[in-house]
Formats: sequence, structure tokens, C-alpha cells
Amino acid sequence: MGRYWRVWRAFAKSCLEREAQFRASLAAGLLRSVVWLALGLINIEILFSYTDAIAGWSRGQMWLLLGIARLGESALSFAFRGNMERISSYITYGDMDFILLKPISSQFAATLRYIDIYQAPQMLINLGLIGYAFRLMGRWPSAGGLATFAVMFPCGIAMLYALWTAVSTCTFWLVRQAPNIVEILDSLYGAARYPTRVFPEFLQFILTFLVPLAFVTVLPAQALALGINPLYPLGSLAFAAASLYLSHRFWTFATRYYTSASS
Amino acid sequence: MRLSGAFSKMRRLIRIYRAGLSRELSATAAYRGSLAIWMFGVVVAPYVSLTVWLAVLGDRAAIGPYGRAQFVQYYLGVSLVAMLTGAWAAHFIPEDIWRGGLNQHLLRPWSYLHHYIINNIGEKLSKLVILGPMILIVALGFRQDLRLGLSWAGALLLPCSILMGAAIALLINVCVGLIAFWTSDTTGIKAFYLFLEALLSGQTIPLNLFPADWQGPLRLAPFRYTLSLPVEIITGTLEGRELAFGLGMQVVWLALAYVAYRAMWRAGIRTYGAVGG
Repeated sequence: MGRYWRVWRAFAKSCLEREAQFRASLAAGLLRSVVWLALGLINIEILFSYTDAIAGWSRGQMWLLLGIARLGESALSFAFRGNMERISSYITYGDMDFILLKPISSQFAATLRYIDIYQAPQMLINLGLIGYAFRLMGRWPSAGGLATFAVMFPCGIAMLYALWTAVSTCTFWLVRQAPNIVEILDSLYGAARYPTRVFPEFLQFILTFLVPLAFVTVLPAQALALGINPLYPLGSLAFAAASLYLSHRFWTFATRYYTSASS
Repeated sequence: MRLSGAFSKMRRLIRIYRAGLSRELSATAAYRGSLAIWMFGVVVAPYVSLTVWLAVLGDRAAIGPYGRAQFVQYYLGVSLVAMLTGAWAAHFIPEDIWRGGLNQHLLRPWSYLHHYIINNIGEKLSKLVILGPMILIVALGFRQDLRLGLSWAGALLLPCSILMGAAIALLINVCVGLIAFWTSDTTGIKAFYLFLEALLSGQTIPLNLFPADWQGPLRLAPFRYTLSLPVEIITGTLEGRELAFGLGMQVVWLALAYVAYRAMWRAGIRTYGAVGG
């Protein structure tokens, strides 16, 4: 575990050095993040000019939910997106050869090699938004709430990492289609910025169990703002462990079908 | 003499469009899986907004001009019209300019704009085949609230309005792409433009539900005329003078966008260095 942490830090450092050359992109990336955040906030403000609560969630709680959802998005992009987008080209061009030869887990080397450092300032902005949401609610989170959040949010991220890895793993067979499947996840993420109870049951089920976005957004937000049944953090842990294990098994299984690209 | 000249010009253009469109259709058939996934996104976002607005509406009869039936009409309309008036040239034009892909277009005996119009129409025809059934499924989910708000006059004017909306959106989008003549990074500009479009075109929030002091700017900015106006015609919330004003504004913005495109193209092509071989 310690070795993998050291390797990951070396990966992160090389990304940082590489990106330091393109500082103008940082400004563009930040602008993009700020305008989309503004869009989300304007949307909430207009909705709340016609109501006091959406499915029992107050205006401050909706700000909190938006902040957590965006924090999740930027965390996922920070650590995973760049890697998942590259997997299809590793397989198409045969670069997977070098990944399989490395003396570390090939899943680790393929799915955690790159970080997107531009997401770091965005994560800070989203943390600021979360803080501001608590000011709107007029109270601070309880210690229990914070602790539950600290368990559930990373578990949610781990579940989505596992799902994303599993989808990207399909690239071993479906070279071209698999990267696009991920866009379904992006589309559904829009729904995960609202309390799940707003939606009909089939969609609640999809957002909770099939594509577990609720574990990154609505459920941690609920833990932080309203308190949540202790079964949820326990369930999150179990669900995260199981999905990580299964996605790893799937990856190992799939690499056996890899037939290199050249000669 | 001049009339027959115009005719032969027209015939030539029709030939170019027919050939271009059939090429475009076979090209899009190759990535129909991706199209289906994009169309899923086109349907999901309005569906989510609709569900949230219905939750906000609750037991009330209406918010502004929107009751349950009008919200359903509005967001089903958005799913359809957003695709029909969508434009994506701004993602490709900068690459053409920076990598010299523009060179081959300059050698062709028809304008660069035609290339993007053909691409736009061709891809939309393919998308319509996939999007239609998806909208139908969502509509079935709301069948108790399904009403037709469209009037006879509206039904006649709707295709016009969609066509003008698509043309305005494409021209503005091309202009955004052409900024690449003068800069080597359009990410920020593109993001800002997408933001304005998402906010001010009625994609997420119906424009009549914005606060009162936004209404003036919303009616003047071009974004209402690329999406909201046709959707408002579908919901039947526009009448008489308001409808005439909207269509008039579409004509004005179409002309302005075309003038802007011509000016940017002429100025830009002079600075163009034709990179690559």
C-alpha cells in the first residue's frame, strides 16, 4: 500500500511538471468551472423564487447538495477522467503492452497514472460553496454528520471509480463504443444534483444502485445536513468494497483477452 | 439571362447538397451508437428539469403561464428543438484553422459555410431517427398531462421558426469557432458562450420564469431565438403581437449573425497562414 502511495505521488508530480507549461489553460478551465457553477446556482435561485422547499430540501440544503455534487465531479475528474479516456487508445495503439509489463498492478498503472491538476482549484471553490451553504442554513454540521460524510463521500467516489473502471474495461472487447458509454454517466450526473425523492421510483433505483451517483451526492449531503441512518455509512463501505473487488476481478479477467496491437 | 444564371447556380447548389448529405448520412451511420448516447443526454436533461419543476408546482394550478400540461409540452419541446437547432461547428473550426485542415475547404468550389450546413443537416436527420422514439417514451410517461397547445397558426409558423433558430445558432456557433483565427485557445470563449446559451436560451429554465428585470435583456439577446421561441410556439403561450415580435427578432438576428459571419470570415482569412501541407 505504501509503495503504491509513493508511486502515485511520483505520477502526480510528473503531471504537475508537465502541466506547468500550459498555464493559460488553467484560466480557461477555471472560467469554465465558475460559469457552470453559476448556472447551477441561478437555477436553484429561480426554482426557490417559486417555492420554499424541493422534496423537503431547503434552499441552503440545495446549495449544499450542488456543492457536494460538484465537489464529487471535480474529484472524479481530478483523479480518474484523464486515465479512463486514455484506455481505449492504449488498447488501439498497443501501449497496453508497456502497462502490463510494469512491476505494479496494471489496473493501477492504467487507471491512476494521470491527474488533472486544474481540478484542484475547482475542488477548493466547491468546498467554499459547501461552507457558504452552511451559512445559508444558519448552522454548522454536527461532529457525527461530518464523520458520516467523511466515510460516505469517499466510498461513493470509490464506487464510481469501480463502475468507470468496469466500463473502461469493456474497451478490451468494444474498442470504440466503451468510451462513449461513460457519457451516459455524465448525463445522469445532472439528475444527481437534485434530491432523489423528486424522481419516480425506477430512476431512484437507477441513481442509487445501478449507477450509484446518489452515494456521491444526495446521500452524503443528507448525512451532512440532516443526519442519516447509520446503516447508510455501513452499507456504503460494504458496497464500495464489493464494487472495487468486482471491478478488479473484471479487469484481471479482461487483460487475458488483450492481444496487443502490432505484429 | 440573369434569371437563368440564378437557376443554374441553384441547380449546382442542390447537386452539392445532395451529394454532401448522402455522404454525411453514411458517415453518421458509422457512429450511430455514439449518436444514441448523445440523444440520451438530449432527452435526460429536460426530463430532469421537468420533474423538478413539477415537484415545485406541487398542488398549485400554475406557475406563471405553466401548469402541468404546459411544463410537459415545454420540456418535450426542448428535447426536440434543442436537437433541431443545435450547432457544434465551434468544436471543429478551430482545429481546421490551427492544423491547416481549412486548406482543403479553400480549394473547393463552394464556401466553407456550406460544408458546416451540410454536416449540420445530415447529422440532424440521423439524430431525429434516434431521438423521436426516445421523446415518445418520455411522452408516454406523462400521458395523463399530454395536451396539444399548438394552434393552427403556430403549426404553420413552427417550421419557419425552427429553421431560423437553427440558422442563427449555426451562424453564431461558426463565428465563435472563427475566433480561432486570432487566438490559439478558444476553450474559455467556448465555455462562456455555452454558458450563455444554456442559461439564456430556455434550455434549463423557461424564460418567462426568470425575474421581471431579466425579461428585457432576455427578449433582446439572440439566445431566446435559437430555442425558446419555437418551444413557446409549441406550448401555445405566444399570441398575436408577441409571436410577430418574436419572429421579427429572429429575422433581425439571422441578418446580424450573417453579417457578423461574413465580416469575421473576410477579416480572418486575410490573417490565415495555411499551416501544414
